[in-house]
Amino acid sequence: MHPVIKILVIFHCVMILLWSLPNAPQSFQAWLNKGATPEQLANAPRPVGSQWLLVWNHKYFKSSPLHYYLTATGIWQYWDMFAPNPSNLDHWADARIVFADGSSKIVPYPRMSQMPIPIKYFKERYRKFLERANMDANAYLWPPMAQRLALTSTSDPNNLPVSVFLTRHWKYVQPMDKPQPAKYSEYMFYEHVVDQARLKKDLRLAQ
Amino acid sequence: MKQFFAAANQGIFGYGSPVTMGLFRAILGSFAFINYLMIAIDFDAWFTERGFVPIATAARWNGDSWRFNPLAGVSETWIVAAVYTIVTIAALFTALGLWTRVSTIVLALGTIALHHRNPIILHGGDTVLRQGVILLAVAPCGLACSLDRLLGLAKGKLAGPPREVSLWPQRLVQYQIAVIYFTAVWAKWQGNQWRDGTATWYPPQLTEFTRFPFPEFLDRQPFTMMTTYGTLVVELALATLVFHKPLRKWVLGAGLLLHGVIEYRFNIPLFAFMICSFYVCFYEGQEVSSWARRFGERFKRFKIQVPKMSASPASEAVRATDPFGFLQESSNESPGAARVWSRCIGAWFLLWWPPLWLGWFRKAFGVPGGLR
Repeated sequence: MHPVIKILVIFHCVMILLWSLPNAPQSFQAWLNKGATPEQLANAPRPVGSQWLLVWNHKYFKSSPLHYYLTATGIWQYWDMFAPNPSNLDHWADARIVFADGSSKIVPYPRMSQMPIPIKYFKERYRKFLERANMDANAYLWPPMAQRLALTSTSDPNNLPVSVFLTRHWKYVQPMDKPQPAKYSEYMFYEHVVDQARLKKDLRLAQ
Repeated sequence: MKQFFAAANQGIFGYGSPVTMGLFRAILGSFAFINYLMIAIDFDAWFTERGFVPIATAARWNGDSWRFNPLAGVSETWIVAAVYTIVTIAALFTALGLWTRVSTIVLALGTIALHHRNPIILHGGDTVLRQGVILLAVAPCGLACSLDRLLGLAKGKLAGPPREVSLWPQRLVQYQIAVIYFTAVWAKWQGNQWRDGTATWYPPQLTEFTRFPFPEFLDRQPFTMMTTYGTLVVELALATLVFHKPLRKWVLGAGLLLHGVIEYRFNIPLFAFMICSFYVCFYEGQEVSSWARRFGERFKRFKIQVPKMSASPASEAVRATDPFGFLQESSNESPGAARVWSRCIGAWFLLWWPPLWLGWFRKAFGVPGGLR
């Protein structure tokens, strides 16, 4: 076997291992900051044992140009299913759509628990999308989400949606020895003014 | 030390049968094909400007880091649909082992492109798939269990068993599995719920995530503790002990059980199937071939007597479709093409073009090939 292939194989093995190592816990944020002062480090929790490797890896490797080998080529990977703790957030979403004539209706965002078992196997991507769209840090996902719901809830081209109100419904699963919440909390988290030009274009209606 | 490096070199870069990688290609390619068919149902929602993830949204998710993303600036739906269709066909051809080198490369590049076009809907199974097809693209995985091989035999371009290849792509698949489980265990060990034995209580309580019903008492202690620590033990074993041959089948069996339960309980499309398809790579090609022979012996009631085949390339192709050895070349009875076809699992993949099989059958047995 050609030595270049051997070197590439070994390089690949090292790269995917380092990229896949868990990120350092948030409690070591000070150690991840390249500009941290000695005082800040002295007051921060100190990594122990293998935690140093995670801090070093997070701080130097994952931000180095070497990361292009993984991110550019699709070899990027991170294996954190159910980690560090499984999610305890049980949530779903819906939207109140207001139409041009002033009427409104509640449109559910596709909800797995309301679907037959075989169908939800095909539709799981909706849950995954909402899992990410539910985070405030990903608020930029909300406008296209609302616009799409406006599009799919249009039934009358003469009465188009004008605004969309996205609402999340959630409850936190408690430890098994604690009482579980019976009801979902709800919160309207985004109000969207429907882009009429785009909606008509997407509906293939004359402007 | 010199001996260690020599052994490592031989173990990683040594030569062996390509049967395992051929089988892995067929399995993972099939799941890739099914996966793309499933997502196609909601193509409009996920890959168009009308959908939930327009290109500007995907670009923001991807960040500043350059990625291979030929669909990055493509807003025309028909172009994305064409790419999607080509990738789906490449997945089918990868499964069949037809034009394997090209189809695996197209599948890998297409999968990367589609994943970068919409990374927001990806789950662990998609990442497993992407890593798998990238490894297939660099592996000589069309030399066995493929239509390429059958066609090569039938045309007389190939003869005898598949040639041996360097096994480093297969070793990379094994290593990839070890990395997945090792880092997964490490990530879990940072969570207090995995340490205190309560982690597996939570996922089944998420109503949007569950699938089939499960006895409620199994979500109570001490079962939760058993499944929590059991998951960690099995995953750690899949990263370490699986390389120790005497323990291999037990560890892989435990992995199948783990993913079987996950597949049953949780709605994660094809994840279990895809990751478990990697397990086959822990077996050498000779082991897979001899397992097929043993399987054929075990189910010898399916064996049929056929006349001795002629010494023609078509006969080589027909024999190659019969990994279980169900064809016994000893009788003078005229065989039926459909009956022979039913025993040759490799020929099942020729059903899309029956004249091909009938042609080989006629040449191999020197008789008209009626489908009886």
